[in-house]
Amino acid sequence: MASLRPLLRRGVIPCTLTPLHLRPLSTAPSFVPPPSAISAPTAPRPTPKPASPYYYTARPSLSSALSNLSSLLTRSQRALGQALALPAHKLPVTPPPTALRWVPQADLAARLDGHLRLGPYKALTGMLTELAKLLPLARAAGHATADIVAEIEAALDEYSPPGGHERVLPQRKPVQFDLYGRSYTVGRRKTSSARVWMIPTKPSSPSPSSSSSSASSSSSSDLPTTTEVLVNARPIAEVFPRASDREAILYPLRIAGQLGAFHVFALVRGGGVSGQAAAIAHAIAKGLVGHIDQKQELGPDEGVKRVLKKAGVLLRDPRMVERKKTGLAKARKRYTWVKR
Amino acid sequence: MAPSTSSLVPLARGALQASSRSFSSSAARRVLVESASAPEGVARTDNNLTLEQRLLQRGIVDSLQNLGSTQHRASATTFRPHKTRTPPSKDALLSALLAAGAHLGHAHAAWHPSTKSFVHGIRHGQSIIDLEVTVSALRRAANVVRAVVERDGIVLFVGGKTRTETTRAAIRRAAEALGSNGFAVPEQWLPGTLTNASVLLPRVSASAAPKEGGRPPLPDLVVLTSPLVHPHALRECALTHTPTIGLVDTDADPRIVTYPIPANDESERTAELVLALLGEAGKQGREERMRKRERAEKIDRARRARVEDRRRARGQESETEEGM
Repeated sequence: MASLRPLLRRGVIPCTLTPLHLRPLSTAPSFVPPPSAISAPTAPRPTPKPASPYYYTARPSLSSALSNLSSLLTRSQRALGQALALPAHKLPVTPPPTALRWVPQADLAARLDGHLRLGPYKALTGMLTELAKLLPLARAAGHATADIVAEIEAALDEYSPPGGHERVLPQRKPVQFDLYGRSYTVGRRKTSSARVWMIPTKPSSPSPSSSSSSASSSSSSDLPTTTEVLVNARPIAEVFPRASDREAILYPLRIAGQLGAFHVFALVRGGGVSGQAAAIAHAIAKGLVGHIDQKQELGPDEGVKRVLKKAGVLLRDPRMVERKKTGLAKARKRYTWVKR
Repeated sequence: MAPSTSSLVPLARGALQASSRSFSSSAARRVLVESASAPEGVARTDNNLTLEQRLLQRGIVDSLQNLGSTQHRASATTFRPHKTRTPPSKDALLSALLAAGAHLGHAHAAWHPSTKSFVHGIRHGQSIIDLEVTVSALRRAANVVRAVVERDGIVLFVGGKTRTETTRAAIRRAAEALGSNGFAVPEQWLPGTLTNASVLLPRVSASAAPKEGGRPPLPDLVVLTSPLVHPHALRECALTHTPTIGLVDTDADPRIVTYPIPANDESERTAELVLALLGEAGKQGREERMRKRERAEKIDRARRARVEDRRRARGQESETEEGM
C-alpha cells in the first residue's frame, strides 16, 4: 500500500521479514515461571474499562441502537420463516400503503449521542420500516410469533413520533349538500371564482326549469333529460357567445357521461370570459365527484374521479398572470438589443 | 401439524426412491409437487404451495432426512475403522478454511512480493494461499487474544462499511463473546479515535481527575478483518504502539499488522470463521482469568480463616491462664 510504505520505511510500523512458517510459534525466552506465579492473578488494570462495547465508535448509543434493531430484524425474519416454512427472502411482505413517520432526526440526535448524521438516521429508519412491514405477517402467524410481535411493537413504539408512526394522508373535504340535494362547490381559474349549485335531473320529480335557450325537458321518463346551465341568472348562450367556452363548461359532464343528468346554476365573478368558463368547469367537476363518488363512497381511483382526474378538470390550474419585471418590457419580453 | 400416515406412505416411498442418504429438500419438493394437485403448465415453486403443503413438505424432509443408507460403492465392500474416528483438530480447521474459500487470493497481477512466503502457487492467474501457514498464524493470533484477555486487556474488533450485515453481526458476536473485554467498531472507523481520543471519546468515569488517568483507555489489541480498508486505523495503532491482528490477502504487505493471518479478505465466511475462533480464544482467556481470581480468593479466604482461628485460640489460652 502506497500510503503505508513511508511508515514502514521510517520504522513506525514494526517490520518482520522472516517468513511466517519459518518463525517459531513461541518467541518467548526459555524462562519457566514458578507455579505460584502462573496461577496467580495478574495485576489490576491501571485504567477502568469502558462500559459500552461500542465505546470506540465515538457514537455508542447509535451503534448499540443499530445493533439491537438489526439483530431483532434477523430474528424476526428467521422466526417468520420458521412459522411460514419459507426462506427469509420469500416472505410475502407488502410495503405499507403510506410512508411511515419516525422520530425526527434532531430529536433522535438529542436522545442518542448528541449528533446524528443523515446516513445513520436513514439506516435506522430503514430498519424500522422493514420491521413495520414484518409486523402484520407476524401477527397473522399466530402464537408461535407472539413474543416477536411484542418485541417489534416495543421497538417501533420507541422510535414513533407522538401521533404514531403511520401517516394519515390529508383527506379532501367532502362536498356539501343542502336539504334539496343540491351540491355547492367553488371553482377558480386565474382571478375568476365561480360558485356552482348542481341538482340531479330526476325524471320522476319536476326539475326547476326556467327560460333557457336549450330545449326544456319533458316530464315523461321515456324522453332523455337536458342539462340546463344558468350563469349569473342568465342563460349560458347569452353569457358565453363563443362555442369553445360553452364546450369547456360542459366538458366535465360530457366525459363523465352525465350530460343531461344535472342542472347547473353558477354565480361567477372576476377575471375574463374564458377564465370564468374554466372556473365553472372546475366547480362542476368537483360537484360531480360529490354527487356520484361521495354518495356511493367510492375510492380515489374509482368512479368518475378517475376519469376527471385523468382529464385534468379536477385540478385548479395554478397559472396566474406573471408580474412585469424592471428592465423588461413585460414579464418576459426584453427590449430590443442595441449594439451601441 | 402432523401429516396422516396414509398420505405419508406413497410420498415416503417416492422420496426414498428419489435419493438415499442425500435427501435434499429439492428432491422432496419434486416428490411432493408431483403428487400435489397443481394445474399443468403452472411453475411449481414455493409460492404456489399453500402453508399446509409447505409444512407437510418440511415435516417429511425432517423425518426422512436421517434415514437411508450411508453405503456407497467404495464403503460397501470394505470396513475402514480409521475412517470412523473423528479427524484431528488441525485437519478440521484446514478443511473449514478451505470450505470458506480462505485460500483464494487476489489476481497474480496484483501480487505483493512480500507475500511470497505464504503463496502456495498460482492457478488461473489467481494466487493460492498456503493454508498450513494460515493455520499456524491463526493459532498464534488466538494465543495472543487469549493472553490479552487473561490480563484483563481490551480487544477491539474493527469491521468496515464495505462489509455486509452478516459480517458486522459476526464482529458484534465476537465482541460479545469476550464480555467486558470485547469492543467493536462494526461500521466505519472514525479517524483520530486513538490519536485524538481525548477529544473524540467520552470520559470513562466522571469521577476520575484528568491528571490521574481520566483520559480514555486505549485498546490493548485491535483485530481488523480487512486492514486495507482501514489505513487510518493501522496508522493510529502504529503511532500508539497498539498491536494488531489482521487478515492479509496476497495484494497486501503482511507487515502492516503485527500478527498477520494470510487469508482471503473478500470472503465473508472466512472473516466470520476467524472472528468466531478469536472470540472462542478470548472466552477461554476470560475463563482462565476468572479461575485464577477464584483460586486466589479461595487461598486468601483460607489464610484469613487460619489467622482468625489462631487469634481465637490465643484468646482462649489467655482466658484459661487468667482463669487459672
